[in-house]
Amino acid sequence: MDNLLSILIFLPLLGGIGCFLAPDSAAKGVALATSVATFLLSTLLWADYDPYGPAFQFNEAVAWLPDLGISYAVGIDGISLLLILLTTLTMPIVVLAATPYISKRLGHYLGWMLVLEMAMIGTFAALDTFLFYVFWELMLIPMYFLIGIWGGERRIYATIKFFIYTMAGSLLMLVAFLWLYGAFADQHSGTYSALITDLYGLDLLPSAQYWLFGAFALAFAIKVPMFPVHTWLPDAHVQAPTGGSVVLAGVLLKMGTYGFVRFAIPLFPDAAVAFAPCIGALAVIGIVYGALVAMVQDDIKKLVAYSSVSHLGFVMLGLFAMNSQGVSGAVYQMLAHGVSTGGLFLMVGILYERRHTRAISDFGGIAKVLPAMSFVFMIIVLSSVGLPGLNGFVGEFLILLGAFEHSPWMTAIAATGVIFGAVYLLWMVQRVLFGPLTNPDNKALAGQDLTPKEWGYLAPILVLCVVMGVFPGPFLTVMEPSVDRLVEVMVSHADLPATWSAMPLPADTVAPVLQGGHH
Amino acid sequence: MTPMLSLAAVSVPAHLGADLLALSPVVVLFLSAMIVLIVEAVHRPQDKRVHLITTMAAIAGALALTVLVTADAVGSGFGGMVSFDQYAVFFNVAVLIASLLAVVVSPDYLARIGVPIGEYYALTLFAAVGMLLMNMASDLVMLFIALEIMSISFYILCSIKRSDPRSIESGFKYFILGAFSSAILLYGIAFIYGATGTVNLDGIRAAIAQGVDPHLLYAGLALVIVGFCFKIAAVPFHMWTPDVYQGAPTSITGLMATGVKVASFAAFGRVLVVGFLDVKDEWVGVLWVVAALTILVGNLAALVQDDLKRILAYSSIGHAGFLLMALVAVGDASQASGLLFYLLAYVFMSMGAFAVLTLFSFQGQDVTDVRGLTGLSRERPWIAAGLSLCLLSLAGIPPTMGFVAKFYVFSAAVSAGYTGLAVIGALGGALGVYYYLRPIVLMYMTPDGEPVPIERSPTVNGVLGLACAAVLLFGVLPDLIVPLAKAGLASLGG
Repeated sequence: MDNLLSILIFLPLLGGIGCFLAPDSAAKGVALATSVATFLLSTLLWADYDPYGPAFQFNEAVAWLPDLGISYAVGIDGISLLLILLTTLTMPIVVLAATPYISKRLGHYLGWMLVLEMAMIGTFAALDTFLFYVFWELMLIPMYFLIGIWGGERRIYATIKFFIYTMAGSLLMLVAFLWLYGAFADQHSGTYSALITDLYGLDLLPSAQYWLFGAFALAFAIKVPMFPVHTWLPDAHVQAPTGGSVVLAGVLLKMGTYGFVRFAIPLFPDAAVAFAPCIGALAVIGIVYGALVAMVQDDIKKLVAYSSVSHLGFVMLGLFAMNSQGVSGAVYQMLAHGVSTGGLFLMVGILYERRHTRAISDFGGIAKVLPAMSFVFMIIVLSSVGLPGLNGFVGEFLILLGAFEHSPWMTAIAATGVIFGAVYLLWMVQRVLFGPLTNPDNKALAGQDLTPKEWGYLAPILVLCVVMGVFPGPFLTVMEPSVDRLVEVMVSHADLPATWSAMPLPADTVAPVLQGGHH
Repeated sequence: MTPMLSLAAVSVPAHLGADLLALSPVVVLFLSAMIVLIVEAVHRPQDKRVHLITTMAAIAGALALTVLVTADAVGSGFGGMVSFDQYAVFFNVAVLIASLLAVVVSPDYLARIGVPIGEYYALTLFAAVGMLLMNMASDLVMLFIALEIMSISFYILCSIKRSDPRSIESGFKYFILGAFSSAILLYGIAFIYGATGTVNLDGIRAAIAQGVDPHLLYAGLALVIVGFCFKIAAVPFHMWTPDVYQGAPTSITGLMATGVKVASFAAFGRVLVVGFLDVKDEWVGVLWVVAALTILVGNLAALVQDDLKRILAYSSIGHAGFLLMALVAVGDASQASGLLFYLLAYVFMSMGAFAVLTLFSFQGQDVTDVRGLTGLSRERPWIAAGLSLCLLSLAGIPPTMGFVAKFYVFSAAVSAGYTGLAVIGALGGALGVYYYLRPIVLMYMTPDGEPVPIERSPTVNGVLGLACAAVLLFGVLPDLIVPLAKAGLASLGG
């Protein structure tokens, strides 16, 4: 299929429109069929992608606004491939998890979800900056409605805060994009181009790069979210319906880190290198701050939300370690966090729908009445904590390894985040699942263990937690050449000794596949 | 029509025929307005639909003539008083679309607010005549006459609901401030005439190239700019807008927000580009400041409004600021043609929103408090969806026409080297998102309250549907319009 990516982008849109028009009972089937079909089609990407082929594959380009060199251009590299797969896998899970909990306007809910899927896949696949921006902004609308209509009590505050935060950041990014177009036209005798691959070749003064990088970094940092622009996240997460939280944590947050990978760093390598200590420091603050705040939460959902701040801090730290271990680890952690935290929000949702509370203090001894649920919850928590053998470990380990070469003392502080992470998550588990079963409301939960459908949508998550923990090889292979290209860009602009990035990984520790890639 | 034209062509110098043909849309509108007036005076028909049909036919005819007869027109007519160029054609189409949409929603609305007045249609047609002539005027005196034709029609239209003090206030305020600003404009024209010895824009440009008294010229230009800033509601000359917009009948508010804005920007753009582009350095700074202030004040003030018409009034001020960004960039960046695209986009998205507002009138009163929208998505899902789309387009969210429009004017400002203005525009745009989202929150996210009963009107459904279709179609495929906008600006030589 020559236009597989376009099919992947627009199939969910069609399904979404179908959901809006269909009655609620039929919408369920439409949404499930669409999301599963999209997932199956996306596996073709994985099958046909050649990691050692050209930088971008499955390319398509159609002129769109020719006078400004704007085109509908899509294509993927190893990193966006994995993120698209994460998106298409998350969506059927979210669709399944919608019933029976979403009681009002189910068709609209599923419709917005599928529109969101379209925007997310489009964002990951876009190779044209204008197209990227269109999809990037388009993601806001479904999320706005998902939180605003199906959210909790303070949903309106949360959704507007989410919207304005993101919009403010992205409009400044738009101005920076426009400046880039102008610069490109100046350097190419008046021809415009919005293609990211063309813009990579721009020769920009460092002083200009600083401003442009700042504008991009702000937009992406809000989305990540990095300390101190993270404050929309806990509100949005707590108020969002379960499916919204899963998509938000699972995929949307990765838009920010992906933005750094695809745009901010390769477009402005000098500035990225110059700002690296700064961003590294903010990342470390985010890691520790997120962990500490998570520790004192009584609301499980808020705890998981702050854990995202902490975990995404690791991703940023890895990216700005600027070596292949750090960046591979960051990308890996993006995937792992998507799986684990998505799973955590599902578990919180499952618990909430049974008990209608999210306060840790209301629980205790749940393992005695809901053993299967507790087992699944425990595994997902352990994967999020970073237990070796599960998916969270690989990314965190690579990140810390990469960051250590870059800045030992920052890594030392960040490593405390790993410990805090274990503390707040395990402590939460202890208070929720274990201990005496005293609350009569909790006793009443007996017999309400996981339903077959819940098993159905949790199974892929459990499988991935284990597979990504035990066999990171295939994933690392796919992303490796793309990661190396990025690292190469950064290293060539850094006044660092080349050995920094050439430090070989201990081959027997993690991933023998990494061996082929460093340089 | 046809016999008269051929008669004119035979009995007078040859080019008058061509001129009249090029001016035929205006002629059609003018004659139809007279017919409506005479029929109303002589027959006083109880059923005003006869006027509606005449008016719609006139506007549709003018639209067809604009597209068919004058689309390829080049050059000027009537001794250089009016220009027939792509620029005028583009804006004429925009104005005629706005007028048509406003007229289509009028009869139901007028019946509800109890203003069954036939002259309404005649005045709307006269206003359209004025607006078309403003788009075409290449001579300051012609421009002034056109402006007055338009303005006087609107003074009456604003206060046409004589029983409502707010309508009277609206018309009176608009009249006082409009007359005031017209006088300032005329004063400026006099100064420019004093400096250059001509009122023709090409002549002014030529005179400036040969050297004129700068004091007189720039004093005149400053006054002209102030006059225009009143008309387009730019800060600090925007004070009249919220009251006038709120008090006027909603269909007229819609036409004022769109048609008047289009025509005023068309004339403003033509004066600056044709007459004064060579001395851009002298006026661009002022326009920069006015644009920045307009964006910020318009969007900030809209945040605290509770009345939808006032929200849209301040929003229109904010949009004037974005449009000024394009004028600031004109001559330095080809994307300044975004001015044309933006105005057409504004016609669709704004008329869509105002069409919905006409449904909120009961027992002769407009009830446009924003809280009246509560729960609309359940009562009238399609109306709510359409209004949301128009609001998202006004906010500049892709994939709507409003986004492409903003993209173009921002792009123009950045390419022309006014990045600071674009940053201010970005911040203003982000602020604006809040008040565009608020009605959506009320429609979709607020728990069921007591929704205000809302009228039904097939014409509003039609107008809203058309507006939404345009907003989406040209948002996804902007290239259908962009070349026309470019050709339009290029035809000014800008």
